[in-house]
Amino acid sequence: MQLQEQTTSFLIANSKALRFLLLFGLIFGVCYFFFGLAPGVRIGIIKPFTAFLASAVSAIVNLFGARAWAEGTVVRSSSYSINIAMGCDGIEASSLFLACVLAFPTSWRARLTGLCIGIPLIQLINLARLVALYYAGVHLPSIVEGLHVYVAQTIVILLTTGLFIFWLERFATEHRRA
Amino acid sequence: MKAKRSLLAVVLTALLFPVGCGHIDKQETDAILVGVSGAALEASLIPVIGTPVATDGAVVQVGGLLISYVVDSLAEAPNNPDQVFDSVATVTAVRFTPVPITTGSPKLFFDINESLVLIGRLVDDGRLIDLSLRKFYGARNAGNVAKASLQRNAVCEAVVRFDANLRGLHDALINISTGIQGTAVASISITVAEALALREQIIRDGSFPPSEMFVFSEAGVTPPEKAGAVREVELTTLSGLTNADLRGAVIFEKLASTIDRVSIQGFLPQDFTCNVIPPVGAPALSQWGAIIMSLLLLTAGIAFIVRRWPVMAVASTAGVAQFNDEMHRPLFVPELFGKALVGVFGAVLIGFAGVTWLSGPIKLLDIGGTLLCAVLFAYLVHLLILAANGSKAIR
Repeated sequence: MQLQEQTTSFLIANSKALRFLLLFGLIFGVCYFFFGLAPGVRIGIIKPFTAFLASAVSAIVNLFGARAWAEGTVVRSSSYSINIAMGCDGIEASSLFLACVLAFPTSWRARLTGLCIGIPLIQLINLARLVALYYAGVHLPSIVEGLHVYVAQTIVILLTTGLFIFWLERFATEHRRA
Repeated sequence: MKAKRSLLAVVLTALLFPVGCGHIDKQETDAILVGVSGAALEASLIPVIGTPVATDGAVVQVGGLLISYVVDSLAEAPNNPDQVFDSVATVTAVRFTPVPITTGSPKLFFDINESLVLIGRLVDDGRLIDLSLRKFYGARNAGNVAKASLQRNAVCEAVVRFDANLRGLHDALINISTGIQGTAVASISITVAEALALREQIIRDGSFPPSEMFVFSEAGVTPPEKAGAVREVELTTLSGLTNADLRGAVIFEKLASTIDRVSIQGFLPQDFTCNVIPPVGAPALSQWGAIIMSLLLLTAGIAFIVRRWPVMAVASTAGVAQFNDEMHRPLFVPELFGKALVGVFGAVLIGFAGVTWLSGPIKLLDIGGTLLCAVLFAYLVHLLILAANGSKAIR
């Protein structure tokens, strides 16, 4: 009986938090299916987007005389080549951010602000990561693997989390003086 | 009968390319030829499988022969130097007309058209390598080091692209092979004798059937290239092949496995080398990275919900969090976190034992990822308990 009361009390006290978790799971599940599994989207949207990322990376590094070129999803040059494969496009990080923003209990205006600012910023972070990895591959080939598996990934995770906290603090909560 | 003709088209097509491509693994892949018209094949295949696989077959076959001829001629470049070597060579891009989708799987349609695009690029780069190689030898013979370097770079860039596109063609053919399973194409077959007869016909005529000539016209093939492609047919035999190899279900996979790991570098003149660097993948988030990021984001969201709970409870009717800065709840209670951590680690240990028992030792990476996630999860649980305790206290 006491356990039932405790459970009920826990659920009531955390109703908003649990709703947030549930909605997050649901929205991310939809995103995962849409962007990761649906064949039409993978072929018609993700692949061209990844090719666009490769073109953007090669255009940026060419500003500094790299003589690279994009070939589908691969950025090639005579000194280093990088393949932006599925999962390297920042879609996953963007989907996680989107699910968190949409699931959080706040106004639609705040949510829209979060998405309009957050997702382009995450894509910019990912683009910077790819450019940095290209240069790491050219100049520090011996440590590029460690850089891209541990350092670059950690930076993407921390920056995205930081972006979410910034949004929570500045846009998602309405402060009022007691 | 229509189905049989269809398979002939696809099959031939498929087997010819690897054989022709520098006679790679000739013993294993002995080619067959089909003189069935691409157009007729296409017409017969559309109602059978819903996608024009046959057109793809014709392009892979005839285009493959063309590529084979170009690749085979690379070794002769030192004997045919080009004296005009000041600028890099260019070619008119070959783009075969995409096949329209009528019915059937969009994925199969995509893979078929992908293979058409790749064949076109292979023709482009094969020609570029040939032209640039001859310019390289022209410059080198003239003692012009700078221009020789320029032409070498042009060759090597095209070599990188050629090999990448060959890998892409391999993947597309594997996908086509998967896509046609269960369709009528997978169940039809031809005999070695039938394929041989068609090969003989092409050799006798010195040309491909008129309906397949669209491949040559779309590729802008020159008379020497066409003659070279026909000569490639003569190099093919059927030794080592059985009727079982000529079934629709296996033919594309067979072709894909033949071109797997093949590099055009093996066909360059012996004194010419490229320091080609394969692309390195750049994943943004590994699986553990995605899990950790999810937990961090969720923890941040819940911390904001929990921290300002008392006022939220009052203002929750609007469904919008309204928070009171003066009513922040502590977000870390060491004693409670310790208890949550012990509970979560206990569950993790049970999980580890179960996984080890079921599927053997756990990788170090998975142990590290699990432990890190366990700490984050324990903190999340601690936050939820904190909110529940706070709620009780208020009541």
